[in-house]
Amino acid sequence: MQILDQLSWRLIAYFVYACCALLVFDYVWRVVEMPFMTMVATAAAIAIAGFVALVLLLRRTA
Amino acid sequence: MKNRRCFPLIYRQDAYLNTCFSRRPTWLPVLNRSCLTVPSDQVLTTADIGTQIVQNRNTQRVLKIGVVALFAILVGMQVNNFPYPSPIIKPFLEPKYRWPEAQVKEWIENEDPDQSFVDYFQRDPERFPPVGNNYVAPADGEIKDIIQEDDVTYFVVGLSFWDVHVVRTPISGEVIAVEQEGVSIFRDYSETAERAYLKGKAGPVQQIVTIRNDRGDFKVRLITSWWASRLKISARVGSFVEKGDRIGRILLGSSVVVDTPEPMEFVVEPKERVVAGETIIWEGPE
Repeated sequence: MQILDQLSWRLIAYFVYACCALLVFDYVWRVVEMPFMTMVATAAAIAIAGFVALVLLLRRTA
Repeated sequence: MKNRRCFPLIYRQDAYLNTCFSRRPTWLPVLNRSCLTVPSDQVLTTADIGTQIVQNRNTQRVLKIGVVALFAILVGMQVNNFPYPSPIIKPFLEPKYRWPEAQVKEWIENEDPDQSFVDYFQRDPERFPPVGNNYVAPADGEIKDIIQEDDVTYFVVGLSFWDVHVVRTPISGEVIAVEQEGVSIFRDYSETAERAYLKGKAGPVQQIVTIRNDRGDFKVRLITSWWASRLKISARVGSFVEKGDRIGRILLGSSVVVDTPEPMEFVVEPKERVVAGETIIWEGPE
């Protein structure tokens, strides 16, 4: 019970986001008919690019 | 005796405590005493009760367990079904991706197909043949080849697992023969390789429906591979069939070929997709 009390909703939200991302990844991978590792690499590249773009945007607006 | 109001009841405090809450388990957030934390002179509203229930520690625990368990089950289903799609995303996928080819082949080898796929496979939609002087496609699928050989044109349609497997007559005419050629005839694979419409097929089985119209005899060949040698012909010898009528069904399998009695120029090209009974493959003068 203590573990449940310490488990924050923020952490649960990250877990839910990750699960949804997994579902979207699975769906897109099937529809684009791409090899699995190519799809993983593409998704990773998009995620990194998005993160960098977000950081740059935040720094500029700050 | 002091009275308290709690939506939707007005009750006597001591009677309420003694009769309702005291015997109920405290771990049930909706039933515990949290709704009694409001001062006695304040009227409780539905919103008050809702807020207190959601903020309650036990409610929070139950909600956390529920959300984590729900998404953990979801991930488990994804992993369990990999590399095939999980039931969660199946409804959002096209049939081709919902039941991947490798999975369908696995089912056929194990003779244990998925019921949802079987239901989909056995569909038999109505088709509306176009009017006019034309011939229609005999089956759903992709045109694999149109071959001219010895004054005969072979019109080859390849069916995938996701196509409707009901075969229709491309022309109107009289059924004059229904013949079968089986595996025994094609033991020697070199022989099958020589036949234009049997390219790349090892030990196929075929049923041939010959239909006669004023141009001559057209043969509609229903061909399937050795591992799914199941063909059903519904056309009867001597009966008259209208263009687009059902003449048979391939229970699992591969191609439908139309042999024409004379060389013909079709209005469709190889690699195009056709719909049985609806796509015009040949058009004559009106």
